[in-house]
Amino acid sequence: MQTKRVTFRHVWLPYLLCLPQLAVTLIFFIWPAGEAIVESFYQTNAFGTSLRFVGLANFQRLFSDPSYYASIRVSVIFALATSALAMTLSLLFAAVADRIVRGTNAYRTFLIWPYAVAPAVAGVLWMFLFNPSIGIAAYALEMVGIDFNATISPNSAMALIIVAAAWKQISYNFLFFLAGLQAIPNSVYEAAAIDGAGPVKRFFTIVLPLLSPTTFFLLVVNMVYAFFDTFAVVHATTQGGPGQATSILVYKVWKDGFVGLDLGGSAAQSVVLMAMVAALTVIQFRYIERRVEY
Amino acid sequence: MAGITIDGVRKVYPNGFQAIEDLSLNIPDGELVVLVGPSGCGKSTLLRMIAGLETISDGDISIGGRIVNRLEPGERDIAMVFQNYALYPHMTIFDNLAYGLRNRKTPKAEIKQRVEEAVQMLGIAHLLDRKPRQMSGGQRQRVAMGRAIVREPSVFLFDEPLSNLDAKLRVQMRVEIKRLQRQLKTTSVYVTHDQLEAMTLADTLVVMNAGRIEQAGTPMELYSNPATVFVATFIGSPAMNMLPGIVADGFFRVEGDAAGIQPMSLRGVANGPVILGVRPEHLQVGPAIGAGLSGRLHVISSEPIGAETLVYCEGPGSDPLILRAAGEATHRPGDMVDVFAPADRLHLFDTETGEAKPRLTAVQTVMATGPQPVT
Ligand SMILES: Nc1ncnc2c1ncn2[C@@H]1O[C@H](COP(=O)(O)OP(=O)(O)OP(=O)(O)O)[C@@H](O)[C@H]1O
Ligand SMILES: [Mg+2]
Repeated sequence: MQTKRVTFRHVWLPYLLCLPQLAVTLIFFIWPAGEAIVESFYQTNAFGTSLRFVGLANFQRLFSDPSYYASIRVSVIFALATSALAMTLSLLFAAVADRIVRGTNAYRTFLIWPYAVAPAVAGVLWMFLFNPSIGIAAYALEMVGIDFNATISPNSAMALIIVAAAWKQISYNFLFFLAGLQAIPNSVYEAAAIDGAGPVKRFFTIVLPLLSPTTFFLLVVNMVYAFFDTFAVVHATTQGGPGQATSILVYKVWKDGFVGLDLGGSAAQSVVLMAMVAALTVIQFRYIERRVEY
Repeated sequence: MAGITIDGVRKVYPNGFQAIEDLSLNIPDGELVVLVGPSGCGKSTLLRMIAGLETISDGDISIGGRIVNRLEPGERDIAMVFQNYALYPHMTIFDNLAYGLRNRKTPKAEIKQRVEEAVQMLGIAHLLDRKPRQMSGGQRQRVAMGRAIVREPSVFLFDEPLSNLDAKLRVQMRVEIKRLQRQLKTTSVYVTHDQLEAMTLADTLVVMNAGRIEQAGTPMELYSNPATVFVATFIGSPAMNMLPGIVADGFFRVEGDAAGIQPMSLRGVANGPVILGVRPEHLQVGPAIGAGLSGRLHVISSEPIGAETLVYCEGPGSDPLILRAAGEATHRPGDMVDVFAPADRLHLFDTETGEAKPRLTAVQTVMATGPQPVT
């Protein structure tokens, strides 16, 4: 597709139009990021009254802390499970929707709605659903003999944040999968049908391979989301607990910094997270920009 | 090998539109049938019903004596070549060709052998490792053909397979398709817009209009004896000249201003309005020789196209009368020309129904003795 090129009459207008976004980026991202980098080299005393340059000590401490590795493990499990769940479900929905909507896009509008729900709200919503005393989902699970209690059971807690985080991402994935599916010409499915492939076989031998660029792109997006954008989900539901069972990296940054008041350590964690985002972004651009081969 | 029988088939789309109404057609084993007709007449719909890509609203389609109405496309033992080729973009040419065979659990060695035979036949053996996007349109077209022939199905279905190719390639592929079909003797249904393709490929040519068959027959039958005005004007290029007129008192006269066309003696035809048709190639420049239609026409323009020249003359209606003259003919706008078409080259059609009346014989149009009618 070719994008239309807009010509502006004044040279400064495009810059002016970019200004709000630039300002937001600067104030809420660049500046705090810079602060975090600086702070990661300092240590604050318990009262926050003095700053002392400690070099890489914060990082050394971090990487020798078993609870940090535990958090990494929790985050990886959480991110993989969330991405897998969100992507599988959205692909399923998209495949169903594609059969119905080939041509129309009325449904698409409805299906994007969950994406507009704030993460905290999504979290609370699911927390209520799974609340052991009043939640309907917890009740349903109890009926089939599953004891679901996110405040006591680490597995329940993990399941809860995975479901809450994945749910929010489904609509986003859905749109991309649907667009990807609709880009496959009808005649290719038909040719495959004539070639004797049933619906399941067509899905695995034609659809899935043709969707691979979309799938890869979404995998990166979902991983980034699960790793870095799910603070509110955790905060609103399990608050990292029980114990450290759902204390994913982003949550730990906040908790160590603002609850544990270890600003230096928290800043060091932020810097590590930043490096991870940067790495994922590089992967995304490197592989997606030159289109996945098929 | 198998013939196709289409028996009283109807297609009503979910939106209520009736694309095919009560259509019956018998396609003998090994024959190549070409469906032609204007855009939207239901050619693709019919083909897709044979393929199993559209449900059949009413009636039966059988292939090789087996009713296939309820069979999946994959179970009908057919292969289809699509207009946009519909190759699998992520697979190599080998895999494109092998896909259908693998789905049918053909042994590996046999797949390899059949794919190799097919690519040899089509001259694309050197492309086996390429992906579709690394090939030209003509090569993709061959791959699409290859995908159909490796399967050795009992029926080939083609939906305008050549319309995305340039003129030269189209001719080349047309010849090749004909050769392959002769060689493989596979029953084929071929949909096209292109008259030349239709005439040259068809064993049986089927002209469709608004979801119905207007006429089916050999290309020459349809050319020489069109059953309706529709077929008469659809087959042949430039189209047959149509002269609405009236038969009265043993004469045919064109309606309104005759524009130089002489009344023609006509016996054995009931009085009343008729349409007289004459092909451009049957209107000769020169004096009347024997019985037939004659006139003296005003030349509007002339188009030399090498082997022949198309001469446009002022006709009785708003449409010009077209005649085919020799390539060297030098008729200039404003010239008057004498034209003549022998009686056995004329077609008469019913004005109401558009159906053809029996062909004329010279005897019917020999001048009656008696007073010449005045024009
Ligand atoms: N899915 C559909 N739903 C409703 N109407 C349809 C559908 N597909 C085709 N039609 C209509 O059925 C009629 C026949 O369509 P079809 O595609 O068979 O025409 P065609 O003869 O192949 O035309 P062309 O030469 O342009 O390919 C057309 O009027 C078309 O608008
Ligand atoms: Mg068509």
